[in-house]
Amino acid sequence: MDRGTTEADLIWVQAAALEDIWEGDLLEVDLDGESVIIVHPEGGKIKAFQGICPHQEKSLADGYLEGNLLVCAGHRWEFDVSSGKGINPMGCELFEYLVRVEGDLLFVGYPRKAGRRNFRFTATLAGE
Amino acid sequence: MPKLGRTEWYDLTRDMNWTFSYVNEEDVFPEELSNGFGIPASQWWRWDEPYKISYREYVHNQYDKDNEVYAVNAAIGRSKLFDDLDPGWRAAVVAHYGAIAVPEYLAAIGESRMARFGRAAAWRNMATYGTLDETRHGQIQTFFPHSLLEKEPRFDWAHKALHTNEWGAIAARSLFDDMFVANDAVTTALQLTFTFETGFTNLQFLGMAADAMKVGDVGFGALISSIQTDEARHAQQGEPTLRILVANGKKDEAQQMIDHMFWRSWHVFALLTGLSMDYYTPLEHRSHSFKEFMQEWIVKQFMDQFRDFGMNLPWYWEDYFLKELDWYHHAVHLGVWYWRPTVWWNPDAGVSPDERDWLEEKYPGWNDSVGKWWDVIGDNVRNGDFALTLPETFPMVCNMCQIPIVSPAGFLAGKVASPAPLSVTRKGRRYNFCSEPCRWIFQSNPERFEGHLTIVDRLLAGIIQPPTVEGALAYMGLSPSEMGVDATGYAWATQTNHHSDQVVNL
Ligand SMILES: [Fe+2]
Ligand SMILES: [Fe+2]
Ligand SMILES: [Zn+2]
Repeated sequence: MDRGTTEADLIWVQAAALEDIWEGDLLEVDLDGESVIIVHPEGGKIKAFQGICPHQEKSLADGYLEGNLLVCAGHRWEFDVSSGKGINPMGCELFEYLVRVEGDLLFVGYPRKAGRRNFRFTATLAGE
Repeated sequence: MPKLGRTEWYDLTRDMNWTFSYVNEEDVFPEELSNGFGIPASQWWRWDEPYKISYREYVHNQYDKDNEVYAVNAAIGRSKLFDDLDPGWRAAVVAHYGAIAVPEYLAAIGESRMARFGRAAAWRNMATYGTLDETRHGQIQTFFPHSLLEKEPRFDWAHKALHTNEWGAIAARSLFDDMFVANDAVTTALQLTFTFETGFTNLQFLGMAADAMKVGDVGFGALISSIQTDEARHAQQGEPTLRILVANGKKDEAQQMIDHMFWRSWHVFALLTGLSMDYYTPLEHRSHSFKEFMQEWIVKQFMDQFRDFGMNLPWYWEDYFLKELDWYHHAVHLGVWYWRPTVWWNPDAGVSPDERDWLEEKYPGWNDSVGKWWDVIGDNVRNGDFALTLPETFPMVCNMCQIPIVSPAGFLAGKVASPAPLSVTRKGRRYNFCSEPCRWIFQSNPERFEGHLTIVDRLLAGIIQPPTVEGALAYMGLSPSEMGVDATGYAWATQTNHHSDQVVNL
């Protein structure tokens, strides 16, 4: 998972005004055609992840945020937004975007290189 | 007591697998009930579902979900909400309950077979929840329409439909018997959970929920989206089962099962969901066309899934399936509306000038294909020749999907090579099919299907007496007050186009 960590690898897009993302809130934005969800957990840092659930074509923004727990409204898959990792199912993960605050604005960066930014997750077999 | 993390207790409590010492494996898992394809038990024990839940959590969640939907239902029962709903939308809801409520109970039979004959403890555990889920779905989808009986007597078809020989009920029974009532546990996991529940029920239950909320049918929307959260959990049984088949060299067998059931599911959902989304849902509340929903929720979903699992697209994908997205349900809609006395809901023609503009925009060429038939029907209605808009004869019915054969409409639309039905003669009996995939499913396993009689076969065999339209309607369980009539009293035929003089409200 190459998230592109150097400036040159990233394309930064103005995603939202800070006043639009209150603590405890989620916000879906369109990032050059890709759905991205911005989360602001209570007392935590603003983060940005893939906007579509790794399970099925369902927008995570329809779900809810409770502390660091993000629950998809489609089928109740659970994620920890401090890490982007799945709580249930375990083993899955949300693609995380880099974020940057400039003044009152939030910018989200995505890798210049084409590649999958919507991880999916399906069953694996025990012992795999 | 200290609280353990899920990983520390889950597998231990779930995985009650053991090696049989005083019985044969074939006696525990007879092939008709659980076709193991010769894969060893230790391989099946690798079965693992992604989304995990304990029984305690399950009960807690289900209790909450039921509380929510029953509270909404009670509030709606006291309100006038249902009276204000559009007649086309009511048709969609009445059709849904008849086609879905009792099959939920049937699904509980399929789930309980997997709960006993699933080949790993983890699988049997998940199927036990599935059994309880489907029982819940049967209960709420008979209870809710029951509470609306005063407003719409035909809601009793929620319970009645599958107990009749109405042709749509025969089609639904034929599909569901094949998929899970009379199917072994392994094939059920692929056909019911992987193929049918992951995609198609998601479309009917989440797609229609989105439309329901727009239309203002809060009760129906809350109900079916609540159901879909259960579906998604027990639909998980397909993925690990498919993984095990593929990992043990049974990809071709798995491919056959999926290709078979994807096609059958497509046809019944084109009938149920296709008509509801493109003709019955009021124009101003349609979010997407049925084709757009199919592309986003089924085509994309399955292409991702097939790729994830190393499966191929079904052989008919390009040449038949994608082409039918443009015309098939339009032809079926025309047939259902024409034979409207044979269904338990009031079909909404849905072809007022504004609606035709929308159809032409979403399905370029609509006016020049099925639209031509609607031109004639509209003329007959405007001339008061209603008898000409009603059936005097019977259509040919497909010996696989049990839906009338509409290939002439596909031919007219330039999407199929010939208007003639396909056939197979076997043991002196001729079977007719609507499409190559329907014929292929039959020929892949003729012993399974050869004994079944379509509604028209029954007429020709003398089972339906007298062999007239009236006799057939009685055989289908339809009394005059239950037979479908045009939902809007033909209002569509006299409406004028609003495009030029009215701004569409956004
Ligand atoms: Fe169900
Ligand atoms: Fe189900
Ligand atoms: Zn057919």
